[in-house]
Amino acid sequence: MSGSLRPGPLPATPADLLRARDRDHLLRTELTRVREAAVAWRNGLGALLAALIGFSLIKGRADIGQLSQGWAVGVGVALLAALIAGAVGALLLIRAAHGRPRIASADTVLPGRAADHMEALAAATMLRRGITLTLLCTAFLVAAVATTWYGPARHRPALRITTPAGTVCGSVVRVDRGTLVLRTADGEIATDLTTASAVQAVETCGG
Amino acid sequence: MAAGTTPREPLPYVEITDEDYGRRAADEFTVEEVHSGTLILRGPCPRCRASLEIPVVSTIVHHRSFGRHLRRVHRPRAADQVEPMMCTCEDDHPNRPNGHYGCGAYWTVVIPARTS
Repeated sequence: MSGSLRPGPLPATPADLLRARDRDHLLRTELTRVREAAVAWRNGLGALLAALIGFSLIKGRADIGQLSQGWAVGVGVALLAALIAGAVGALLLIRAAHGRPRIASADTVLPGRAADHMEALAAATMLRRGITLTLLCTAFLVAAVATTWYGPARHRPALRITTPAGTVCGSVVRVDRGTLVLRTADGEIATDLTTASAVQAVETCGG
Repeated sequence: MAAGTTPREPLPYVEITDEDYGRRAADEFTVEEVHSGTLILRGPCPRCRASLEIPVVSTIVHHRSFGRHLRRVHRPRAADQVEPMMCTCEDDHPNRPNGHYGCGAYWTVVIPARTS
């Protein structure tokens, strides 16, 4: 549109020149500043994750099969969420740092400085989302590891003792002078090991 | 350059304004809204006549307000906006300080609310 502007109501002042120059400088350097910030965040967050994972600064049980089933599923979900958040976050950070190759119609391409401004705004948005998702990835990783540390074990070790009086199965409470006390479903039962004909370690007493 | 003409001496860089600059810019500049909150003002510099293409934006990535920008919400301008402008050409102008652009001319225009 043409003719929609009006002259300023007052004569311009040196302060107007400074404002115009400051704004021009900000716009000229806007995309470069966002790219530099994105590269710095990408490198910093990448190094943080590499240190956490690569150097085993966070490490839980080697086998999450030792966790009770519900907690093991929770760990799996947390790890999956960490993987997704980390992958998307990394892509967004790379997108913010380096842009996205795109083929556009020559008729719709914005003028150079406007295109740079729009790209700077888009890159800043991607950078913000990338930072959030990468930190979220770290949080999910920490949650998964903490769960493997503090989650309840699937079951306690159990022994099945066969004696002439019958078979007793339960977790070990104590051993005292040849007498083994097991915690069973019926309470604590003492068994004389000297009469045992078989001692078998079992995963569960059921069945 | 046409045959028989002599090259015109470039105007020296001088930080200068004139009431006529604003009037000429208002008459000669066009306004295009290329995106919501982003205008492009195009026209000749009132002093050196170089072709200018000046973006006028409502949001900008600024180091000190980076976080604020990242949570940005587009705020349409409610009233007419007095916009300070300056020549930003990259033509040669003697005595121009390093890192500066243009011939030194500056002025203001009013951008009506409906175009901003």
